[in-house]
Amino acid sequence: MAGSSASLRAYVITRVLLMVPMLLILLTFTFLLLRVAPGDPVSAIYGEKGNPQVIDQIKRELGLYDPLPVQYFTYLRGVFTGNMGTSIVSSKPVIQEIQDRMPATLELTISSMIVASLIGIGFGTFAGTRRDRPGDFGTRIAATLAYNIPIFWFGLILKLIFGLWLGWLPVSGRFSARLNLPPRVTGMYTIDTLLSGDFRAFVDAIAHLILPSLTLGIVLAGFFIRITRVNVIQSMGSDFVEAARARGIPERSVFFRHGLKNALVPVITTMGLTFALLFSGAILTETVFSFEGMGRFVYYAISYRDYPAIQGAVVYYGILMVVISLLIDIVNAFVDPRIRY
Amino acid sequence: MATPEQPTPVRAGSRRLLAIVAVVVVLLVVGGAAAYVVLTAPQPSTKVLVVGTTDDEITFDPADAYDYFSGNLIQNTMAMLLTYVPGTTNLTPDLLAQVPSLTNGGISSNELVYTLHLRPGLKFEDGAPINSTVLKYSLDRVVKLNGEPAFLLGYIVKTQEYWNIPGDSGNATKKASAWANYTAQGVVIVDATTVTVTLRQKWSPFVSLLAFTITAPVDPKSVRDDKFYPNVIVASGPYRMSSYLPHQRYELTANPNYYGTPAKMSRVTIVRYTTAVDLKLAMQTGAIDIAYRSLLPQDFASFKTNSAVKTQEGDSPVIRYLVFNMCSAADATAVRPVPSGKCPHTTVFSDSTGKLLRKALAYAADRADISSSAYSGTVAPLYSLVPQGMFGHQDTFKTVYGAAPNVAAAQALLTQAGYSTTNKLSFKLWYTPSHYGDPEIFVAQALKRAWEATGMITVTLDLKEWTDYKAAWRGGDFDVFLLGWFPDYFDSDDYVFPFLHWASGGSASFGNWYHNSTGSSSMDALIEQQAATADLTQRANLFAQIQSGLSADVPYIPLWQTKQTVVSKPTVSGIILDPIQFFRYFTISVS
Repeated sequence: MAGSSASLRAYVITRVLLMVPMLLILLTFTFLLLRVAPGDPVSAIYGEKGNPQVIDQIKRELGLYDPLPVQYFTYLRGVFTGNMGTSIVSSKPVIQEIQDRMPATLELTISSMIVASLIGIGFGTFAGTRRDRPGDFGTRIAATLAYNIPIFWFGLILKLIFGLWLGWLPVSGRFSARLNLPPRVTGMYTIDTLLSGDFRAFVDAIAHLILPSLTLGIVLAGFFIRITRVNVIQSMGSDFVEAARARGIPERSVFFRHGLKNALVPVITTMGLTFALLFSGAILTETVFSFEGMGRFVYYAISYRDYPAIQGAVVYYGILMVVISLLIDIVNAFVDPRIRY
Repeated sequence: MATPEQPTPVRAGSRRLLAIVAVVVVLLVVGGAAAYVVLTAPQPSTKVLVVGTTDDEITFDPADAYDYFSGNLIQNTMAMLLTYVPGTTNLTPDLLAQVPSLTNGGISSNELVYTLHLRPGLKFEDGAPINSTVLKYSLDRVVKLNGEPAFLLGYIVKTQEYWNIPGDSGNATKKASAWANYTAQGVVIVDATTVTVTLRQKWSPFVSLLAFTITAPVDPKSVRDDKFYPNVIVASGPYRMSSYLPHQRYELTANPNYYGTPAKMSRVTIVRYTTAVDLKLAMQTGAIDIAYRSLLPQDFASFKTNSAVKTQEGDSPVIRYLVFNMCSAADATAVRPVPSGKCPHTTVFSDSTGKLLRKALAYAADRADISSSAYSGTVAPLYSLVPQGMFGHQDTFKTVYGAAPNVAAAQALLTQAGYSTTNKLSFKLWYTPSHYGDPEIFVAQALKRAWEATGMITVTLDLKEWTDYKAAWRGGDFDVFLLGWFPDYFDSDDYVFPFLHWASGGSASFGNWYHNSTGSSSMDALIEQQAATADLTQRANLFAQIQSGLSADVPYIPLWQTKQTVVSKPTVSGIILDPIQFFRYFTISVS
């Protein structure tokens, strides 16, 4: 046991140390890619009514006249001291722009992943245990349809049905305009309304999340269903399941304790990475439901060539990906000892 | 080989798992919906006006704000020095006691010194006084920070000298000296409520600037003069910004320290939607009381036939026009005294033959088709760069080229220029697909239709996204292209100077390179004269000459003037659609 714990610790330390060069490579590529891209960001933003003096001053303030190595080290120093610069478009610190939008993305990501995981694992398991039977065919067709459905269109249809025709759910936004906003603690209304003890507002926040999370969740579920199905089939046909059966373990226990548990390891890894991907924002879902999240932030930053904003978003996203990958690796190493060796 | 059947308990287990999932998802959806419908039904006591928009804020700092929505929120929360009589373009005092003029002594006889008298007893929302010290601080801060709109104060004496010195450490002494010169001469405190502003040359639009957000006083206690404050509003106007969620929601509550008529509603919530479709749905579902800026034209047309809502239309200062690149051989080689430099290549629209072509296209343009096919009739045709409702406006293009397309006249000019049905004039018309909204493609198609109706023109449509579009037109890559304009300040000068004044680089900055700049009757001279003239009759005469020159030379073809459209619930009253597009939340109430 002591050896096992030491190997896990060594593995975790190695993975944590590897994060440093990974982040440095990411930061360097982000910096270089934006500099070699054609076009001057300040002139692009101030084009129509550009005052040359203002443009010149902003370029100087952003250090765009400095030599590239100087710009690079200034940029690195900023990142490591938590200063991602100031957005050219809004004059606001990039970190604040990200903080403003992060709660919307977090709420959408978490709720969509709940929907996608429930449907994906439920239907994937259902199909996997009925291989090549009608239930399997039906589920596979539904999964393919769900995964290929245009999310923009799907969102609009749900809005029309549940929002406009039935009037059951709000069509867009994160909170009713007629209610008072809860005091900001996390920025996530579902949590802040609970913390403030306002149940009515909590229900309102949840109701605003239902359609966006169903839209994104169902589309993602199409992917999860297929992965779960394949892994359930593989797992239930593997030697360890046969061995469990041979030992006389009841079939239900074989399925839940051995087959399904092992089938879900790769599924959880995929879900974790998808979860991380969603943190960068789901631009289409955000746009359809008027969620001002990270996806729209990145889209506008790129559209306006807002260098500091793009850099800030990529750094934030890169750090998130690296950290989540690390967590997934640690969880996998914990579950499957073969990984640490 | 057939797949072996799975044992039944497994399928039963998976079915149970699926059933649990289905129950959880259905419970979430139906339970959430039911709770939402029951618990969040509007309360009769709720007194809030909810306005929906697709506009987004950038900054609330008057020294840096230069976009419509930021400016509009500033206008509703920070009183300006002057404002406009609702529904008109007539200036009236706001924080100032009077509109400066020659007759009341607010403008000196040489028209260089403006005396600004503040009303007594003015306060910010926090009780801090608004006096001459605050006013000087606010104007000086704009000059010092040199934000995006600061150039508008460039006629104040010594501003240019200060701005022209680089801000690096090597020039610190010179910069400090220039700053001392500016602060001593530019804005000077006379007494507790009076300052004077001295201009370096006559510039009559300066009075209009006093109604623009750039001159709004800011609270020195909350806003330092060495950086921008994009998130801070210390109110001096009818509302205060009690809270806001950037890019999503803005809460306004009545400002108890406002000197003027209190706002009609104690609370206004402005909700931002990311798409026009969401704005429409919000109006349809009753989530908002007012939908303003910007519904799709077809959606507004649909609301007009809906008796459950009220619709209003009003003039807007936004104009749309066609730009010709008039770069000639002489222009392409000349060293220009402008930031945009030389034009890169000659075009068919330059020189005397080019003039015939520009006139032919002006004759053939069909504004009615643009209005109906692209905007469902929600825009007004425009026959001058100075829009309807602005001082000195004249429909000169209508007089010269007619209100409807004149194909015969266009054909005659094309023939004179050497083109025929077998030797057609061929060019690309450029547009940008999203910056001006979805209808832009239909505008381009309508123009193509109208011009090709002559039988002597072939038009190819091409597009670029906005960032690339801007770079391309300024670089002279386009020969003919579509643009739009929202004025910096509400004076007709801002519709001619930037477009037609050659020496300042105005026409070059539009990728147009038009110049008629020599002699006392040149376009440059006329524009300079009107800007230096306070006498309204004389100024109107100068504007008539400028617009006449515009229609004679056709460097641009004015196409249409947008209209403001607003949809509201029948319970809403007090909406005023100003020609300057100052949307006042404080006059609106909902019963």
